[in-house]
Amino acid sequence: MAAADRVARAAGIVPGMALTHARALVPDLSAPLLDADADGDALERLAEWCLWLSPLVAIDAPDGIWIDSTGCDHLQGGEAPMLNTLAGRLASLGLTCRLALAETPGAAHALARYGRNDRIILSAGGQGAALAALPVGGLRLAGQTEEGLQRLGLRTIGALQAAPRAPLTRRFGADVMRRLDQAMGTVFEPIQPLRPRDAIAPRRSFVEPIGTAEAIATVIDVLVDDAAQELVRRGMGARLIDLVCDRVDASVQVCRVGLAAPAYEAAHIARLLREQIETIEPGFGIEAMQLVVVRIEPIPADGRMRGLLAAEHGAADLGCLIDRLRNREGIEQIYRLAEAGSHLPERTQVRVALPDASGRKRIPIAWQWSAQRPARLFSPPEPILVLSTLPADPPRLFVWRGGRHRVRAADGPERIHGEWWHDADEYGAVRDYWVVEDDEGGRFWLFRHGDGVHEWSGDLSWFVHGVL
Amino acid sequence: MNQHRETMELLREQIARIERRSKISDAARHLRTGLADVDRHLGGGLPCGVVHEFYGAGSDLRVAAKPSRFIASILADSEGQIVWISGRYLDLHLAGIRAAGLDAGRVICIETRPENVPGLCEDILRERAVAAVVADMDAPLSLTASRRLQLASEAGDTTGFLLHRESAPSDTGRLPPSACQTRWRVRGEPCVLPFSASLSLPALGPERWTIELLRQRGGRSASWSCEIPPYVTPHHLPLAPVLAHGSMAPAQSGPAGRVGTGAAYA
Repeated sequence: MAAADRVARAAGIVPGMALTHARALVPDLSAPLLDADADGDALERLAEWCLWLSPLVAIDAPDGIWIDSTGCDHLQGGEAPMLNTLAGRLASLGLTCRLALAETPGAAHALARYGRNDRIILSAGGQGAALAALPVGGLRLAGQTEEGLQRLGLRTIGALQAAPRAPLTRRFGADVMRRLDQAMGTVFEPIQPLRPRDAIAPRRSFVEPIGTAEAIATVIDVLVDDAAQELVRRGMGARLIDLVCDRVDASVQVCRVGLAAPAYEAAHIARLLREQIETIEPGFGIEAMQLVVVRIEPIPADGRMRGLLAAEHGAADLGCLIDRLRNREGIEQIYRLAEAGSHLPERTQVRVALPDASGRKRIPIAWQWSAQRPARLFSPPEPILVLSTLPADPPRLFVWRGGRHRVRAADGPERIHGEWWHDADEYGAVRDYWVVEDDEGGRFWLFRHGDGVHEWSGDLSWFVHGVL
Repeated sequence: MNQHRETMELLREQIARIERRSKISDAARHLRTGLADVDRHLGGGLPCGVVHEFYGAGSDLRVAAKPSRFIASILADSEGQIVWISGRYLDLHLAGIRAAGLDAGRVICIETRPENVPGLCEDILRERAVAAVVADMDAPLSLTASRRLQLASEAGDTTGFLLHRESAPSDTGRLPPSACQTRWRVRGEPCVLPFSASLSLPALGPERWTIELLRQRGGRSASWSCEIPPYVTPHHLPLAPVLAHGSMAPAQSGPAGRVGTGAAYA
């Protein structure tokens, strides 16, 4: 018995029972033959039906569906009303369901099957407490592993969490801890979303499994060529690409590359993917590879027309370079510095994301060329201790970062007024900037809050804003 | 006999290829510093496709503002994209590097975690589309790590500039060994004060730097003292700077504001 409906369950029939046993209990039992393929098709149709709720829907075989509702709940009036609507619509199709909303696919899977209620909403970070009492069966483990764990007395997820990790990994393989971490959210687990039927997804299966970097690179070139031709035919560019590798041991490796601007050039895409080869673990070999263009966007006409001009070839190369940089690990920020129309040194520059989508032409402001500016600007300005000064002059002796500096010459002041059109508090505020040189030849860019005479213009404190 | 000579030629070529000298000897592939004496000493300028190290000195040791300006003025001579890597908040000031002659539109700024700087630097040095990489180093680099950077630089034909900031030992301390092509220290010197009759604080004279070439692979170390003229707007005529011993130097027509428009005297 693979499944039993409510009436059958009331009669004492449970899944896993032998058919003869069930027939003994209920002689007139209707038991159609299990058709796994038809069930799979039906589940896929149901998953497609779920697309009204969210664009990211994945099948959790054999009996579940994941819906990534991030950013979709407000359309239904919140999380609880969203689940109510979903349950109501499923009931009108004649389906009973158990719904669980959690931060990770693993936790939602476990709660939907083993949770106390048939509708559960887990708050952020609540996986640990909510899953602790559930049986280990909720972790999507292989049948043997689950039995082994139960034999060890690790019946609940909470017990598994408390158990030492290393011996369990040695005995059952890395899968147990990976599934646990995925459910808890310490390891990210991507779901395989349902693809639209017209997705660009060339696929190659191999006679012999492959495992070398060269072989993978060759296959990438072939797949990218196919995808690029299709992209050109549609006049679209790819923004997000997944390379899906099916391994001999039935596991799937996915590497994903993003592009800063839609692109269809085979060389560009192939180069980005080839740099990801190192992250693929072929294991005993890869038997099939598929390139899935996850997101496509139309190519802006003007952007490509400019590419035809020889002078603009540099720009195309730059987009390629930025894509490659961005797909590297470990980069936290990538930007350019650009002019901002302001007088205050810390506001004269802004960070512009790459590539610059605003398309604004930035023209340097002429007055900034006339004054000395440090190459490195302290942020925030560092306060200094002034030991000797005259009211309108720069300090003669000051302490900065624990060192005494005796001033022998100075240039200034360069007065910069607060920008009252940004902030009313800055009205009347004044900074006087000086370039001073100490006895050892070090040059500092100092400023004083206030004009040195009027209290309202500043509190006469001194700062170093940079070293020249 | 003739055959022997051909064999010898082939062997020499192979050795040169192993030693990777062919690229360095290529005279066209140099970045001019703009200081005539320095360029002459280096045989045309800083070679491309290798790694150069820079240290600050004195109160500038940890900030390294002078070496930053020096690097910016050297890179003003190059073409292509420049990547500037930092392991924390990158405090580059646009007005300052532009005053050194470098167009900020060519600089891609990257921030990462401190432990990622050498690895990322190596990765990007291998990138052929990048002309130069400048890295703010916050931790000392081992000999092996600097060798890796040097090899990556040769492989990618990219010039690397390592700017030692937090990692710089004290002024007089021993510098760690490295496999870089050159090693520089830029130090500010007290300027020559213009004559002033009043007793108040005198005005500044032109900046004076001592540029020390501490180490050079296959070459001599040297030291130069030079005057950096006050920054002039591009539409001003470049003025002939006065040398310390009073004679006039020939007026140089470089891009105004570059460090190199000053006169150098050894």
